[in-house]
Amino acid sequence: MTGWQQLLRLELKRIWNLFTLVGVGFFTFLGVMISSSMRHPDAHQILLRTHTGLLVIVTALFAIGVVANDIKEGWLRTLLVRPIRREHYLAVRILAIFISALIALLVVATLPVLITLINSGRLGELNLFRVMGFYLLFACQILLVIMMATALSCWVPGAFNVFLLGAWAMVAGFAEFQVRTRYWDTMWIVTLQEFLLPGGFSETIEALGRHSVLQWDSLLWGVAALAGFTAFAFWSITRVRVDTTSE
Amino acid sequence: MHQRAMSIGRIALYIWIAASLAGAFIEYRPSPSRVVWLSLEAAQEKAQRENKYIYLDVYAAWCAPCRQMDKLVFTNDSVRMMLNTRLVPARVNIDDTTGGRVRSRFNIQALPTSLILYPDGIEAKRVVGFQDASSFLQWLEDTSFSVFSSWQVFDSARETAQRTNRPILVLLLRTRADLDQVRRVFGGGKIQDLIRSRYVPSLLLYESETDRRILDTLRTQLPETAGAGLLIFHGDGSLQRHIWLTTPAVSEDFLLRQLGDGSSS
Repeated sequence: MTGWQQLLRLELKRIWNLFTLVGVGFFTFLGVMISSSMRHPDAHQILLRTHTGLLVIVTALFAIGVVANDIKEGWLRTLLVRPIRREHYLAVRILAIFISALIALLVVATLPVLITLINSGRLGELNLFRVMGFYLLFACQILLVIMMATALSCWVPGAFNVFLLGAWAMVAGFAEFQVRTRYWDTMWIVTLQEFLLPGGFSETIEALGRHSVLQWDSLLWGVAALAGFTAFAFWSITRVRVDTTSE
Repeated sequence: MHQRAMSIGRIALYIWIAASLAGAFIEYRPSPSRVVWLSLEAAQEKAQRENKYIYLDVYAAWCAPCRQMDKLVFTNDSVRMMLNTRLVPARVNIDDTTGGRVRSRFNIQALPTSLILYPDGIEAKRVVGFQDASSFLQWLEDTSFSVFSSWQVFDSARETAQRTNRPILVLLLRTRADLDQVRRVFGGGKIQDLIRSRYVPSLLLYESETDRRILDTLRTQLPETAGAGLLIFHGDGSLQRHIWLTTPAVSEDFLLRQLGDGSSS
């Protein structure tokens, strides 16, 4: 087993503790409630609506204090005194959270949707290629949330990275509402508002779900946001001062 | 130690720049829409000449849902055909000089706003925001207003009636609001078939100045208690019979009986 595989195994073990299992159980219950209460005529919409909300929440919970807590608990220092590079640590940490969030999403959202559709005899309505497209985009969206949370976690302590993400999303939602109702005719405000929160992947998912169309511009904005936050996260990790904070 | 981290970051940075440029290019490139758009004035002239309804798209270059309409809806063949052949498509950029006038005239409060206008420029109905191709097409087609879209203006109806030797059927109403009430009845398949096969249909409104002038010329033939009703004229313009409607909300059966068996009331 290579070094990074060992590290990945170690990270996964750290993530999947009793608290995580209880949390996944709770969200699975929530997923069952959500999917079974949906009466949408399009089975794809049931799949989408169950996943989109849970995806962000579940991923954000896995990404709480992703770097900051490791610094505080001395874990990062323990790793860095070994022949492990910072980017090596960050890549493995991100990969571990990504795998965990993906598994959690399959349990909390996919499983309830499958049960609901099987019970109602509607499983056959799903188009395999469209569903594969959804999951590819879900994976991208998960990665984006992780990157945003990771980049923030290099700069703010504890769970503040996720609080900041939540506040950011709320401010963006409020701004969107204000722009739609009050400033819909002001070019620069509308243009600025479009860039307030990266929504490329979610817009692509929405378009694929509602119109069966792959919106290339939204997809590229999503890729741009993902790449931008990846660059920011990997730059931020080089600026983290481990020695002074670990003692 | 930081060199490798920076290299991963640098690769991501290059991807960010490339994806942003590609995204901006695709999003802001000129619209591939193949709808033959006219200005509102030109559309109104054409609509009156051809007795068609106007589709008015109020948009802005910086409005994302408007660009989506261009890319996903106005490129759709069925939508394009419908707009180019059955309606007169017009579009107004809210930032242009005409945009300001259109904004206040139609009380535009969000973008994009799609409007269907009567040939004389009065609003028939509207929908606000992005619509996907199928719901937009449904909105265009489900136009109870289009029940009357093939009905001719009185003078053309008279010419057609003389040429085809069919009587003219005139629906006489006070206002466009009354039109809303009879749409459902005249939209029925049986009544539409009956009217199409036996009559040359036309519409006259008391509230319209042009129509009032036509009614003045017919005044001598009309009974004094003129209200809403159906007037049937011979091709030469002489009144054959009339059916007064006590309320515009008549039933399809009533109309089928009246127009089908040829009896007058």
